[in-house]
Amino acid sequence: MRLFQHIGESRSLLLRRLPTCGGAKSTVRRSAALIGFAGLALVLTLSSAGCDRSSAADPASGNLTASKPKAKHKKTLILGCDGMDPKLVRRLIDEGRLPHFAKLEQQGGFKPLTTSIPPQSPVAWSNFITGANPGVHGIYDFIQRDLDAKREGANVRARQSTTIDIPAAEPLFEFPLNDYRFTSADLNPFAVGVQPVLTRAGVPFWDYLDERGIPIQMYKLAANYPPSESKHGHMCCLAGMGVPDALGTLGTFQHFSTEYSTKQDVKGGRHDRIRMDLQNGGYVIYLKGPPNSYKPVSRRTGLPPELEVSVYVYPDPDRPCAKLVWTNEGVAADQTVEIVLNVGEWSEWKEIHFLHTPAGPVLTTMVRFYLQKLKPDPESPEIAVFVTPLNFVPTSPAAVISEPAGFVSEIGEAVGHFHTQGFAEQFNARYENDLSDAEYKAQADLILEENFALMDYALKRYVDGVLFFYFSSTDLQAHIFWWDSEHPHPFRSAADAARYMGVIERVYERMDEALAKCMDALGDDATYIVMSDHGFGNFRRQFGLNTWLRNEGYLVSEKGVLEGERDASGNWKSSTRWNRTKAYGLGLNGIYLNIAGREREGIVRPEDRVALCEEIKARLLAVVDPENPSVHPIRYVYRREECYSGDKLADAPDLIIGYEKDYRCSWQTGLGHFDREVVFDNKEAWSADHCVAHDLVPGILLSNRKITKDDPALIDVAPSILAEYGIETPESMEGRPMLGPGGGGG
Amino acid sequence: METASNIIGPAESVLASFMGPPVHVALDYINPVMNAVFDGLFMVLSFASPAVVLVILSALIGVLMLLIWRYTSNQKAIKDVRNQIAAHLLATRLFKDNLAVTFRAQRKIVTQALRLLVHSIKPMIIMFIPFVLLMSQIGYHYEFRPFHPGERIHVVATLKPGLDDAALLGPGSTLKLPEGLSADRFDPCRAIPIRTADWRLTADRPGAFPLVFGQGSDTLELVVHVSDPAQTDADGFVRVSAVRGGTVLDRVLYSADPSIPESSIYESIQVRYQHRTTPILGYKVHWLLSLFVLSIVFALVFKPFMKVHI
Repeated sequence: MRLFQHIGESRSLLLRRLPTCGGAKSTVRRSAALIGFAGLALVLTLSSAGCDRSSAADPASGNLTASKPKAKHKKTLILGCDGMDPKLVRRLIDEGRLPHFAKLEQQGGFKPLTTSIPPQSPVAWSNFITGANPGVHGIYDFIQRDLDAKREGANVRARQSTTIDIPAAEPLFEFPLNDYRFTSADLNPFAVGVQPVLTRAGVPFWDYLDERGIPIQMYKLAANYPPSESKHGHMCCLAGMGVPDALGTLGTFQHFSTEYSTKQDVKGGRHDRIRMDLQNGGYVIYLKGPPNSYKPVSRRTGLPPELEVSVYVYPDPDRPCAKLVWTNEGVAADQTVEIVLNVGEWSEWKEIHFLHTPAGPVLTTMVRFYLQKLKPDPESPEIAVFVTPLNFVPTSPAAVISEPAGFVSEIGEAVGHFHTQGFAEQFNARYENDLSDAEYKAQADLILEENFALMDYALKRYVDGVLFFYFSSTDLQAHIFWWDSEHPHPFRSAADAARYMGVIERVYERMDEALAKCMDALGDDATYIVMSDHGFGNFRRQFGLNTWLRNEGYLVSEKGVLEGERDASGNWKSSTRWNRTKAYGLGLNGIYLNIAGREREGIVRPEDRVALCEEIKARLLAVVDPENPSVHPIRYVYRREECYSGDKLADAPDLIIGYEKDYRCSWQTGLGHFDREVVFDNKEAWSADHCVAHDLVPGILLSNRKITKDDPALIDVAPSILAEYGIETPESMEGRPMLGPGGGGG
Repeated sequence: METASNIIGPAESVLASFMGPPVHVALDYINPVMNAVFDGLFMVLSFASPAVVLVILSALIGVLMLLIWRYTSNQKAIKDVRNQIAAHLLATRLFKDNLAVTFRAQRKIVTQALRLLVHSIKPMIIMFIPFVLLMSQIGYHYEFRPFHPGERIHVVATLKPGLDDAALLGPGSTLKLPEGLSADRFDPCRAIPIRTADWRLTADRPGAFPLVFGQGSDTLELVVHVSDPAQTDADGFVRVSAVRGGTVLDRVLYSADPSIPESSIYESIQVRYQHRTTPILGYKVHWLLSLFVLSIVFALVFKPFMKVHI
């Protein structure tokens, strides 16, 4: 139109020969455009005004509830308190310290909840999710034998049980540019990088609700990373335990100190020294990111150099505080970030950006700093800074950690930054003594408060259907602070042990407060289920399973089951003599046999499997603790077919061990290593555990509905949720509904 | 808070050395007038939400752009050039079978486009300074939001280079707090190598709190705004000046206050406000982008009625 209008007005000979558009028509169109634009502006204005009043504009206003639609479905709340122990809950209810738990018990009931075999969180939560035993969902331990180990030339490898990474396709070609290394994948916008895959099989309970249009919201759900897909769009899930940090690990903290002389990898973290910044004054720490895949591989390490951000530390000359300054490099502009911390203070979440090349990409992460020690004496400075693992930024995560993918951003917009990494409590730092008891508690309490903020958001967002909320504090504070043994604590005085046991009691009281919030928000008509995946016990003595197997002649290895090295031609040379090894321990409760035809270098004939299992089982059950020969450290040993059934049975360990009260496998056992002794004291800060015989550590089940089964189990929870919505227990589930009508008042 | 001084590198410091003093002096005269005008304007518009005000401002700016363009550009020449371009475009369509004519027409389209660009330079240059000032004024209201009671208020005083440590440890670390604000127990935290003193303050109630830095005759004032989080719309009309002193860009973009006297030990004083979001149609877009797009849209709509050729 605009073209012909100009043409009509032109004095050009050429143009004069051309037909013109009528002026009237043009005017009409102009008017229409103006009216249209005015309308658009009005809509814009009104919608903008509306947005401003919305919770998205100001989550603090709490307006999420204002626009909530009316509930169409029944309301069911599941409060998942990891590791909450029925003995302690019973005592605290009886002491009147858990009034809302007591109310549920009065209305419905409270019973121990039979946990999984073994009672480990990934296994137990998978039982809950699928309503089936591990033979169906295939999750048997935190650590499992890698069935693809043969590809790499090794007989056995270990892998994380719930998630495996599918590597990216090999690039077609590489090309250098300046100091960087680019590949064909950088030119292909559709190239797919490393893909994490959820290994859990079975059908999650929410699939049945999803297909019937019943909304499900789950926050911090364990054993569901990457989050499984909602097939009908009615499920939202923020993944919890299992979500990695930005390094791709389950959590790598970084501890910097002037006391360290070199860089060193430690359990779940890194130590590095704080250096004097001779050029600018002050001190500097180098915060490490993942390897920069755009840099050439180092011959020495076999990996590209790590991304790095320099954080400058400027201590006040005579006050216990310091200023930390760093630059978040970007493609368009850099941004300098400055924070001030007092000694003993945690920072808020702060973004750390790692720029791969000057043209990008940028990995956006976030951390919290903790200024642990500060004596800026120029002669012998003492400074220590602790940095949490690099978490994904909720509003722009570098990995998919929720379903739908934007769910986490929505939460982040509303509540601000929060831990996205699954294991948020820094227990490894406590294990390494990088954090003291008090420091660990302070950090763990930050997470508890964060989760309360998330819960507030969840309750505001919730309308109807199923709401699941997970708390990790009941488990990860208990691992460090639980102690109710008559024996002395490994390193705390009796008074301190009792005081820190009080910390757990306080956490339980906070769970009662969480339930109170839910009851206020959901009202009396909702069904409430408070549950835990397992209970807790002291971890006083360690059992070196692989050491025992080696002593008994079942395992022949110098350094450990998984240890070895590649020779000059790249062939894997194992430290284990597989041709003389019949059995090995891997994970916290499993023994695998070296079966011919299954393990690449297997020697046990399949037909001898049962006999060998029975032999090992009998000998294990006969072991006594040299400290007290009347005590057997091992309570049960199961052959896998005795406790599991299903399509995934072949992946299970051949034997599953249930340790006696106070005992657990040694720290070295999990990854196939050896100890000096078979049974010995645990002197670590991680002084409580649950990886024992399953009957010693049941979870809890509290509901305002009558609990109709005498011995409810984790696998019964999912069918019970489905029954709330009139869905019959599907064939994929083994559990049975166990909730009857409410007991009144609820 | 990102200010120009912490997101822009060495090029800016070179610019500052040439332009710094004149810009500071000019802004000392211009800012009080502009502040008064815009404070009045925002007071008039306080009936509406910040998003609505942004739309209204966009419309006004669209009209203003057209007016400036109309009276500072050669409208007749622009009209001719546009007609020429249209004619040559038509020629390419009509004679698409004749390669020679098509190529000639395309060459002329490029030439005319360059002419159009040349004709645009003068009005764009004339518009640049007033529009930067306009954007600054709007930015004072839209870039940052006031703090809320209980939130931590990070304040940084940076001293001029070349002073000895005593200046930082003594007068440079002096801050007089008004009633209603309290400082962290160890404040200020002084970083000698980078010549900064940092305070972390907390307000116990909404209000405008003047902070007075320094001692004796060398004192500087900067106001910290704290608002009630429940009254979010009211936040939109508080003029937030996040910096006093600083670099040229800090001064232009974030500082509505007078410049720092030459004799002062301070180079800059900054309050690290939180960025504000002003969603339009539910989308959280930076206010500057919203304003830019909307004002262009309004300008295009009003153009035929104001008979302006652009």
